[in-house]
Amino acid sequence: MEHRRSDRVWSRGGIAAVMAICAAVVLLVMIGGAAPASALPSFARQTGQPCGTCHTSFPGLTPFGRRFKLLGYTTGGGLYKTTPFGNNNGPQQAYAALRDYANRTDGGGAAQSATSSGERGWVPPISMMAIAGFTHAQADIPAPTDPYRPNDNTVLTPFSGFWGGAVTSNIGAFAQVTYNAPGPVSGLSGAPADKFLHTWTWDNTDVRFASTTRIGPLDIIYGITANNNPTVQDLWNTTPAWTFPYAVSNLGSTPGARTIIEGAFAAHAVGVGGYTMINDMLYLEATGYQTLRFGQQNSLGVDPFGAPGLFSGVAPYWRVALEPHWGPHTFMIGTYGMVFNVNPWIDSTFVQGTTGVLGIADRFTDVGFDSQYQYQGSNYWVTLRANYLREFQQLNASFPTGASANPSNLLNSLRLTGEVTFGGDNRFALTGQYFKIWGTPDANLYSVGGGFANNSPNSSGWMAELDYIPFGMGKAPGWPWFNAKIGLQYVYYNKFNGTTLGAQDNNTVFLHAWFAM
Amino acid sequence: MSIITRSACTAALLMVLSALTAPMATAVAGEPTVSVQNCTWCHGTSAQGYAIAPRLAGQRPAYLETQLKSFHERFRDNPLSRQYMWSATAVLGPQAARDLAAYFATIPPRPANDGNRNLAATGRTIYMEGIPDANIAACYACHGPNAEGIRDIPRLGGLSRFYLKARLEQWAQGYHSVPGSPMPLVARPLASAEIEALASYLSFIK
Ligand code: HEC
Ligand code: HEC
Repeated sequence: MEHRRSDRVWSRGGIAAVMAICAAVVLLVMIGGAAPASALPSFARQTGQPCGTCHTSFPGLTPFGRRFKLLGYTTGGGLYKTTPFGNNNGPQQAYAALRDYANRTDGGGAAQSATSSGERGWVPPISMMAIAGFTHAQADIPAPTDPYRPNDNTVLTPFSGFWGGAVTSNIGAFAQVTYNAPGPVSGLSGAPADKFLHTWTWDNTDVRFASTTRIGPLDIIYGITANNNPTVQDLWNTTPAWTFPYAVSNLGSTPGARTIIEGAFAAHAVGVGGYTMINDMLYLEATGYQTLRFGQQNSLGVDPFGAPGLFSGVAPYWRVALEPHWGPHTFMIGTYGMVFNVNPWIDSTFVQGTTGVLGIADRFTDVGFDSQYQYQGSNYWVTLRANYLREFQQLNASFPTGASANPSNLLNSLRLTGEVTFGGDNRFALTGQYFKIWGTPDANLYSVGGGFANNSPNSSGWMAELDYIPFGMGKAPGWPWFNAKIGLQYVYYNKFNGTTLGAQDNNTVFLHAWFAM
Repeated sequence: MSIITRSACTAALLMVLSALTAPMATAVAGEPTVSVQNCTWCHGTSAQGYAIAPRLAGQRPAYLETQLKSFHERFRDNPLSRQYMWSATAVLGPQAARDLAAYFATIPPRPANDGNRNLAATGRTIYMEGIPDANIAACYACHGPNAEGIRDIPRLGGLSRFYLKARLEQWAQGYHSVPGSPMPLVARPLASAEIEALASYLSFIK
C-alpha cells in the first residue's frame, strides 16, 4: 500500500507552548462575552445561528447542520446580506412575493414596506483556521528527524483559508486552501519524486446547487454537488472525509493500510453528481469522479504520486441513506460505495523521470455500510456512529508488475464511535472510538520494507479525545466571529501494521488547539 | 474535453440553473423562496416539522405572528426557543413575520401520528371534558372541537408528541409564551400522565 507522505511543518518547542496557547484561549473566553460563533464563522454570519445549532463537536453535525449542508450552504437568517448580488432573491424580494400572496388570499390590505429590521451589507464568507499541536509518541521518530526533535514536538500548522457560504440564493460553496510544509527528513523517500511535495494545496472543496420542490405528496430537496474528495459532500460524519478523528498528528504513526475511498484520492480527483432528499428522510446520490491530470494536480499543490495512480474512466460513487427522526432522536442507516479503475504510476519514485501510468488497471470496489444514532438532550448530545467498509481489490496491474503478491485481495475497515457533548456555549466533548483494519495478507503490498509485519495489513486499537469548545467567544476586537477547540487525544494500538509486537510504541498523545475566525 | 473546461462548464451550468430557479421563486408567489428556506431549513421542507422543530404548516396565522413577535422580543423563553428561535427572529421585522405567518398557514398540515395509541382515548376525554375535580379545563372550549384553533389560539391537532409534551410541561415550570396567555393557568394542574395522554391524542388528529 502507498505510504501517506508526511508533509506538515513542525517547529521546535514543547508542551509549554501549547499550554500557553490554550491558556490564551481560555482567557479570551473569559473576557470575551457571549456573542455566538460557528465552527466555520462565515456560516454563523450568514445564518445568524451559533455554531452549536449545526455542530455537536465540530466538524460533527447536528440534524440542522446536515440540512444546512443539504440545502447547499445557502440558508440565511443572519444580520448580513447572504449574497453579493442585488438581482438575487434576497429576503426583501421573497417577502414581497409572500406579501403579494397574502394580499391575494385575504383580499388586499395595504402592504407596508418595512421588512426585516436592520439587515446589513454583504461580507465575503471567508474564514481562516489554524491548528497548533503537541505530539508525544511512546517511541521516538526514526532518525533523521530534522528539523524536529525525536519526540515531543510542537507544531503551528496546518493553516487554512475557507470560502464558506452562499454565492447566489441557490449556490453555495465550502472551499478550503491549506498550508503545509515539509515533514521530518525521515519522512522523505529520498527519491526525485520528493520535488512534487508542496506547501500550499487545495483542500476539501464542495460547491453545490440546491433547490426544493413538491411532487404529489413528496417533499423534494434536490441538488448538484461538484467536489474533490469522495464523501466530502456527505451529510453524516460516518463516511471517511469527515469522520472522527478530526485532527491527527502527522508526527504520530498511523496504520499503513486503508481502503481507497478513505481519502486516497482526496484532492487528486474531481466529481460532479446529483442528489435528492425525499420527505426529509431518504437521501440518494450518484456522483462520477475523474482524476486530474498530473500537471493539473501539481499546479493545485497536490503531489500526484501521493495517490496510487490515475483513474481509467469515470469512477462512480453512490449513496443511499434513510434517516427517520422523531423529536430529539435521529437514526440513520445507509450504504455507499465506489468503483475505482486505477492505472498505477509507472514509477512513483520518479527515478525514471516519467509521470506516465501503466496501460492496465487495478480495480477497487469499495462498499460501505454505516449507521448513526443521535440524541439531543436538554443540555447535551449523544451520538453513536458505525462505519464498515469492505474493499474488493482486483489487482490486474499490481499483480503482473509484482507490486502485489496476490491477484486479488480483501481489505476491511471498521470504526465504532461514541461521542457525548455537554453544555451550550462552553462545551465539553468526549469521544471514543474502536477501530480495526484487516484483510488478506500480501507479501508485496504489506512487506517489511513497507513497515508491515507478517505480510499483514491488520491494525486495531482505541482512541479517546476530550475537547473543550468555547463556542461563545464573541467580542474579539474587530472580528466578532472567533471560535476555538482544545483537544487532548490519545491513540492506543492493540495491533499495528500486522503485529501486536511493539504495537504500543505507536501510541500517541496529541494535544491540539484549533482556531477559526 | 479537459478537466478545466469541464469544471468551467459545470460552473456555468450551476449558474444557469440558479438563474432559472431564482426568478421562478419570485414569479410564483407563495412558492419557497430564500427567506422561507431560512425557516424550512429547520422546520422541514414543507414546514411539517423536523426533529425538535415543530410543524408550522396549517397553523393559525395570527398565532404564528404573535409567537414570532414573542421570540423577537425574547419573551418566549423556554430553552429551545432561546437556543434557536431568538437568533432566527433577531432581524425579522413585523411585516416579514406577518408574511411568513400567512405563507405557512396556507400549507396543508400533516399529522405527526407519533403518540401512544393506547392513551389516545384518555387524552380525548380530557380534551373534550377536562377534569373538573382536578381543576383541569376542557381544551375544547378554546382550541375547538377538532383542535383546529381559531384566531390566535393555535391548532394543536397533529403536532408532534414530543413538542406538545414539552410545551405543556414548560408552562408549569414557569416559562413564558406570550403576555397574558391563559395557558400557565390551564397547564399547571396537569399531571404528567395527563400530559402524555393529551399529547398522544392530539398527535393523531388530522
Ligand atoms: C435553527 C433552527 C430554526 C430556525 C432557523 C427556525 N426555527 Fe422556528 N423553531 C425552532 C425550534 C427548535 C422551535 C421549538 C421551540 C420550542 O420548543 O418551544 C421553533 C419554534 C417556532 C415557532 C413556534 C411554533 C409553535 O407552535 O408555537 C414558530 C412560529 C417558528 N419557530 C417559526 C419560525 C420561522 C418563521 C422561522 C424563519 C424565520 C424559523 N422558525 C426558523 C427552530 C428553528
Ligand atoms: C382559555 C382558553 C384556552 C384553554 C381552555 C386551553 N388553551 Fe391552550 N392555548 C390557548 C392560547 C390563547 C394559546 C396561545 C398562547 C400561548 O402561546 O400561550 C394556547 C396554546 C396552547 C399550546 C401551544 C401550542 C403550540 O403550538 O406551541 C398548547 C400545546 C395548548 N395550548 C394545549 C392546551 C391543552 C392541552 C388544553 C387543555 C388542557 C388547553 N390548551 C386549553 C388558550 C387555551
